[in-house]
Amino acid sequence: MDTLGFLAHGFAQALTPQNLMFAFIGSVLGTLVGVLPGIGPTSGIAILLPLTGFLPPAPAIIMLAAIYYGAMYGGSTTAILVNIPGEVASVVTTLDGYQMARQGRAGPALAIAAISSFVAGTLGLVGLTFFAPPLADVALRIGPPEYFGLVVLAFSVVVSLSGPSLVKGLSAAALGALVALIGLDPMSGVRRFAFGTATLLSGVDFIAVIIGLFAVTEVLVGVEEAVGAVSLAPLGRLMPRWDELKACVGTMLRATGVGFFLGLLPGCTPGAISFISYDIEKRVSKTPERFGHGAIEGVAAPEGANNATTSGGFVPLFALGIPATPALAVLLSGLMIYGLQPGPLLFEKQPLFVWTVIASMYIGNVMLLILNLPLVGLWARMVRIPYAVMAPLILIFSVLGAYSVRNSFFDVAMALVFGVLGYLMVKLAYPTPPLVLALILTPMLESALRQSLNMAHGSASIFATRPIAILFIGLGIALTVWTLLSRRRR
Amino acid sequence: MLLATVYYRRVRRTSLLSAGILLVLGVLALVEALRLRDDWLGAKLMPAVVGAVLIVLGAAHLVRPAATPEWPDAAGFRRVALIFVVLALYVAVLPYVGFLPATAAFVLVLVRALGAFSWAATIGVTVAIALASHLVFIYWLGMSLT
Amino acid sequence: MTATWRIALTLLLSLIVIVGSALTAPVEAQPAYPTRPVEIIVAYAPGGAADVAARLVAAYASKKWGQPVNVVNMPGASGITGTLRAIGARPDGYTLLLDPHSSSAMLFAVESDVPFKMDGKTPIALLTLDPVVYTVKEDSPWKSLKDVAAAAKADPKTFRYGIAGVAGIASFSVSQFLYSAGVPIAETNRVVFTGGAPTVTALAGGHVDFAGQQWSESAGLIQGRKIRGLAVVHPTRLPGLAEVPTAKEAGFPDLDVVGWQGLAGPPKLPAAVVQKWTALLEEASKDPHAFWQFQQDELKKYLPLATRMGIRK
Repeated sequence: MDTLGFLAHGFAQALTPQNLMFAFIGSVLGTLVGVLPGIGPTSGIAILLPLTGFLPPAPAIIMLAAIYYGAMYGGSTTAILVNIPGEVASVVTTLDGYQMARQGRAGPALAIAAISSFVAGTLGLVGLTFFAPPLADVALRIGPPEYFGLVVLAFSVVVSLSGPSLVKGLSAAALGALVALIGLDPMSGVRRFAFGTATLLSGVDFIAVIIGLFAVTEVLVGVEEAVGAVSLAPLGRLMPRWDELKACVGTMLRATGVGFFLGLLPGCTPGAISFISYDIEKRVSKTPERFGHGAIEGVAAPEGANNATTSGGFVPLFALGIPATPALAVLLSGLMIYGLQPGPLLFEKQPLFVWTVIASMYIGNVMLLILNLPLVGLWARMVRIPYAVMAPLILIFSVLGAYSVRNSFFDVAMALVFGVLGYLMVKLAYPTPPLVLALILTPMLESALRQSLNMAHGSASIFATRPIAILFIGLGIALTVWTLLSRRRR
Repeated sequence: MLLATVYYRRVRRTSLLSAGILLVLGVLALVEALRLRDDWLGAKLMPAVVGAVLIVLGAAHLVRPAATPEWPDAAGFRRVALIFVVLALYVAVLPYVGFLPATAAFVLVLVRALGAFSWAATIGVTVAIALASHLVFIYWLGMSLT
Repeated sequence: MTATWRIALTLLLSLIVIVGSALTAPVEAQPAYPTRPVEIIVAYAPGGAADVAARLVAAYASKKWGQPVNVVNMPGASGITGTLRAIGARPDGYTLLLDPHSSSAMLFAVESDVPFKMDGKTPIALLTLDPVVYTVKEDSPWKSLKDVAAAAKADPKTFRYGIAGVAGIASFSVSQFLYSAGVPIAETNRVVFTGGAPTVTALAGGHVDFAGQQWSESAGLIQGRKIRGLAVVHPTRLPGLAEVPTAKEAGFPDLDVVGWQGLAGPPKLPAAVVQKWTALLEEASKDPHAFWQFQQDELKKYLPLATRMGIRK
């Protein structure tokens, strides 16, 4: 297979000035849309798709790819500057990114986010380029029992993120799990915790919860403490220091690996993957106590993992026609309108199309870096805007963002409720990441567990026949125990 | 002595509250699990598990000593309450009055409450923010709030 | 004290602003439809079959009428949330509903207390059909529906089938097949997935042995030779799946579960509005440049476009 030849051809197609211009426009639009909370890549692409309608296929695809990456990056920008994650995947970025912004280091945070995204995304695309079909087959072998194992592994992160009080961390997680169960059970259609209302039947939307827990809570805390602005610290350098960059190299590589391979598995959400990547960095670091207080690796890891996940997600997308996330689903329908027919024969039947798309992904990545690094200075200055102006802006964005997910005021009300809850949690020293993680993981845990049991008529013996699943579960338990022990030591 | 008892009581109170909430939620979850008409390995499973966990954690709260929470001072508390009430009002009024008027009012109140700007600057900021958000969300993105 | 004064004054000012804007709102005229943007509510998440169908219709209508037709997603509660909103809207033709099979007969068959009635909407048109394809893994020893039936009857305890949602179309299609084949369903293993895509993926990976999802969900993997179609529920063979027999040819003529999407509106929608739409859709089906068609030879182009991604919440 003349992979490189096709890729070169794809680049030739993608690198015309006209196409580059569309890549640029797409990046800008995508970033702007991604900056708006609640409007992540999914709705971003859905909204901007009509814009590409009047273009011929190649520039349209390039623009779509650029919009997608742009939207993912935009979500990180607000996560760092004002603690509002633009979408699920940016939640982890807020943990250290926002802290860095408060310390006057918004510049390096934004910069490392852009750099890490670029490196991981590009490396991930290399993986996609050379290993797509065989990897797709591997992805197929992961079934419900293996997913269960993965989720158990991911839950071990909860313990790690619980902070000083394990009971409080676990309580937050249990709360998150409970909220996740509200609504219609997707597998059996049974109504849970709906108390007879139609609104609760749709469940509590995840984005509304994180907008409440992060954005609204932060404003309430900021108002209470009468802060003058998000950060009054003098704005330091705009770029990370050399030693920091060097330290992040390992982080970026690890994040790429984790993100790419886990992103291959359809159904493994980027949110969970970024938590895992963050946790790995914390464990391998010699100074883990910096995490949560502005550690630059804490931004590099999730950002890199996100982009690598995207690249990994393209493997089942192209090779099997299966989108790993809703955002990829919308991207797929966009691509299909232009005649892309995904499936294992894609690379054989439409090599030029596919390689043009992949080449435009590379370009999208580069374009974002070029676009955003110079803008870091501009974005970073925003943290000094007086709070009297910032707070209303944040709140308006929060309200509209929460509304925009499902066009529902119930979600806005939820955002407010969780804003208050988040405020109380901050005051009572309950950590919020475990709640968010449990919210993400519980639906996955539930479906994986129930499906696995269904496969063997309700008996847990299914796990005995699946070595990979046992491996994951074992790892999860081992990690949890290890974390518990190292906490004792401190 | 008095101070010590007051301090001790205050600490226990928040722990009791948290424990109480967790226990109530746990029981609620278990009740719901029992109510559901599905198999135990189906829709009932997770509510039951989560309910049990909540109850255990609630009990744990009663057993371990709690740290003092950092309550805000009166002025801080007033500020938070005010801002939240204004926010809630904004959301309540939004579908009925329309985006521009509601947002303009909201920003006006907030900027006035939080900042020490002159009236001219306040109005200016209000108009700017309200118009900008209208342009982006309503005009460009076509969101409809009715 | 002064602070409270300031706040009170501000609230008074805001009140004036609000009342003022409300009073100066323009009055609407009543000319030909549509004179302002139309909304089609899709009660499912973006990217699904319903969503894609809606966007295609919307794009076509926008172009023809010069007024934006926007798709608004309101996912939740198996489509109940969005559907409720659409049929509760004013029947002026500016809020419509994308009405798929899952919000219609199938929903009412399963749920006993749906908050709206099946005839509580004004039907406008049927937009698409998405037939069921019964599938197995590519290297499965079963080569026909009869093989599947025999195997399931011989050893139901090891027979695993996957469906997307207990009340979804696959639940009906597979159950109908198993019943008509005389398989003791209670002894089989039913694995429920949250959507069409995870179901066919699991089938391809060998985690379940049989599935009966829609053509749009199965097409990719069938064409990619990861899963094999055993029969299609349709009067004739599907273009693009010429080697897959129809259910009748496969020996099961009574199987008739089919998926579809339609357009509907709130009850009491004016006949003029309905007519405008049906005229447009008819024109579209005759227009060779339109994105979608009902004719057989256009199914090949359209159905892959309407791939359902299975992200219903």
